[in-house]
Amino acid sequence: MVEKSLERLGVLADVWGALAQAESVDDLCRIAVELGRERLGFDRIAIWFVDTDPSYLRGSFGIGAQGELLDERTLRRPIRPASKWHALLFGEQASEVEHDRPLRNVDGEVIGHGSFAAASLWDGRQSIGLVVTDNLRRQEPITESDVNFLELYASILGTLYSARQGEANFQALAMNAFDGIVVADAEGRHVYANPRAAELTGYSLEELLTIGMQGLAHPEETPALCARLEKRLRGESTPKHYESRIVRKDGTALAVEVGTTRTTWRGAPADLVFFRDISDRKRHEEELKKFKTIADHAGYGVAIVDLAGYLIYANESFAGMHGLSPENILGASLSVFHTPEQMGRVNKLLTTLKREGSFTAEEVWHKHQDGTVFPTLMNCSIIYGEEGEPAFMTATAVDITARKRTEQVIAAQQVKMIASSRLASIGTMAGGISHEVKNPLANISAAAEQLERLLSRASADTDMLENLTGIIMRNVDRIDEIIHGLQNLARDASGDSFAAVPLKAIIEDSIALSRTRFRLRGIRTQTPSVDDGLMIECRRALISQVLVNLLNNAYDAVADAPERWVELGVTDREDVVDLTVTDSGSGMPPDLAGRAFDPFFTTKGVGQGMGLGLSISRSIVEDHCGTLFIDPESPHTRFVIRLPKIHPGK
Amino acid sequence: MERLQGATVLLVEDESDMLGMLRFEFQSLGCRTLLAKNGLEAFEIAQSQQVDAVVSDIRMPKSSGLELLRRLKEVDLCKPIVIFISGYADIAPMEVYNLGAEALVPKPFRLRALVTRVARLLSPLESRWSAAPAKASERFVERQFTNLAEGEEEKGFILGRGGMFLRFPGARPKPHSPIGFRVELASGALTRIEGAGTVRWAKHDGEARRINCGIEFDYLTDATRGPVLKWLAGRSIRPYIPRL
Repeated sequence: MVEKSLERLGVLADVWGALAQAESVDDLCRIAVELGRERLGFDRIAIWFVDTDPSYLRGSFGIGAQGELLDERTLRRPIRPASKWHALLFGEQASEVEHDRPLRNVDGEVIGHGSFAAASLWDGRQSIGLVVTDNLRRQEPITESDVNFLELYASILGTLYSARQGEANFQALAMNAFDGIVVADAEGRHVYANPRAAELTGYSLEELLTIGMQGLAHPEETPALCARLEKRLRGESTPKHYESRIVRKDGTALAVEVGTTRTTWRGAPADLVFFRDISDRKRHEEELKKFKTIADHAGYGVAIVDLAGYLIYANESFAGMHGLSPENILGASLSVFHTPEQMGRVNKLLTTLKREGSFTAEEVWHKHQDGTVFPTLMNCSIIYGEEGEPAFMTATAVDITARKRTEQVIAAQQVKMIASSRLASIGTMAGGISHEVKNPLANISAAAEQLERLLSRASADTDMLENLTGIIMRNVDRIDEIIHGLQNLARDASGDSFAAVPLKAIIEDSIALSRTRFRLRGIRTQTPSVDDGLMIECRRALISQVLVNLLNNAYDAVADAPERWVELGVTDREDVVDLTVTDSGSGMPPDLAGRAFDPFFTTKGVGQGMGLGLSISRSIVEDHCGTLFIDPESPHTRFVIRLPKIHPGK
Repeated sequence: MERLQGATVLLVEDESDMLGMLRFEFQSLGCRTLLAKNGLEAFEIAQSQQVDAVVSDIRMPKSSGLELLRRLKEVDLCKPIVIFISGYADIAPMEVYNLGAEALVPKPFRLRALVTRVARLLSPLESRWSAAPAKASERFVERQFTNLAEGEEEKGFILGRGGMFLRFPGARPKPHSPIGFRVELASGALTRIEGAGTVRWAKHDGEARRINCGIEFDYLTDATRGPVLKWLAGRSIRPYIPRL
């Protein structure tokens, strides 16, 4: 009896080992009844569990009347309250045995008589089911020792079941986990891996179980890994979470956050390792770091302000331009950076910013710590929260003190350049003008001389007298016309006011200064007949200068051409007027035409001007809200001055 | 003025007012006048007819006065004489004289002065250079050279068809002002050129207080006139007053 018991216990140890290898809860139950029958000498045996509804029992596996394995997982049996089974399941009692009672099959039909024993499956906290056995087949009596053994078996199964159930729950959890999860045994072999682990590493589940932890280790992380391991071996605590890298199947590294915990796996100590892909987070962190570095060291000021106007970030430049350091100004109010007078405009801009969401290129004056003020160019925008609500205001500020100074210098230089360019163009015409004036003067002088002589004679030639006085008057008018055009051309007229001027007069001014020059070169000029009533509101002298400049260019362009003509044209386009200068040249090649209006661009030889003519002409026309362009449609070179008849604004 | 009587004067001018008055003036002095509007027309006329003097503008359409001068002087250096009238030219007076023009009269001018000048230029050099001026010039310049060639080499003295280039120290004389001169040459056919003239152009030399000057001869002393005329007769010199 005792020997039998000892022998049984020895077998039970083997069975326990086999049961521990069960892959699942169902597997565990199946093996338990099979080995119960084959190895432990139970007759019929079955395992029942308390259902999710605790008034029922749910079947698992059992051994039938013919010793066959029965799958009873679909069966449910009510637990009658106040029954022995109820007491066994929910009371203190561990087992129950009944002799001489009807024995039933799975369908509840009585198929014999005999003894029946049941033991409670205990998971350490509560009863989770029953292991039942009877002596239907072999009719051997069920002894007290048998019942004790059944209790022992039930307690083993209960423990294993709960462990396996826990594992099943863990696996169900792990299956859908967002983290990669592996379980490694004491030798570092993977004994479990979840699908996410496979996905993140690029290995299949089977491969993961073969390669073990070594296969995933990143070479550069090895020192850190060893350090942790050594610490643990020394019994020191190691961080539960750390950042590391693993090597994926394709050889690429993956940044991961690792969490480890000690556990047991199928009865043996093991490491449960969670790892989470943090490459996105890492990348974002890197990006953020980059942007922060850029912002920190940017050559212009960057600041972030909360909605109440308090500074939550400022870079070195922003702080520096105010004579402060970034650390000292966090939390500062905007009024630290502006004088009270400046705050008026700042507040206005803030209102705009909150309404529009952003503003760009606003000139805003700031206050330096030393009390001086300086201009900046600011761009601001609102950063919105996840719900689309305004969260912060960001600003960039460029100190434009130097730029403003440069602008002033450039403006001054430009004035000088315009002046010298005007001088140059006048210089080129000076000779022409001398000729223009001296010819009529010579005519007048000669006429006066002859007149004097004729008058002193007794018999005056009246025809000749009239002719001579006519010459004098005509030539005086000619000089007057030239001087008039010259006056309009020569002086700085940029301060003149706009006035309505007959277009005809402007054309006459300009032509007066060029006519003879063109004629001498054999350049045919054609001028349009312009309606006296066609007026444009302009600075007369400036438009004359533009026209003379275009005429001069046309002169230079055709001076050596086989066919030489220049044609002025006027087209009335209701609100605007086109004044065109066309020459017999074959038009500008597109690359020249594109650059023609650039300052200092010239196709002329050295000494023939600074190349500022067209550039200045264009700016003059644009000041008149007009345009100066080369007509791309014209087969000949045609410049078009398009001016509004009424000067808008200003 | 009697020189103009019967002379043929070709008037070249694109200004019709001026052309009309020139014709009236020269005709009233008994000249035969020919008219042209530009250099090209003028040259054609001068080719087909006997012309004693050409009075021409410089800047004209189609063909300028300078072009006309070049072509006329290629044919004959001394006839017709060419008198330019010009308000403004792209060319300096010293170039005009160097190219062979006998006169450059700036506009505006006195018709009578022009006519006098033309008349004077129409008279032969012999008689032209014979009449001593009524009074001596305020300015008188004097220089010595080894010979003519050395004068040219030194860039101090060049003899032209109607005057000379002379470099001398002192203040710059005004154009068209009278000037007395004596140039002595130690050897050669010409030993002395002495007389009075008119400054036609004067420029500061690069070096300080040295004047480069174009002088038209008005009078040469009896002793020097003959040798100069003789010297000139053997040569065809294009510049009326040479430049450097």
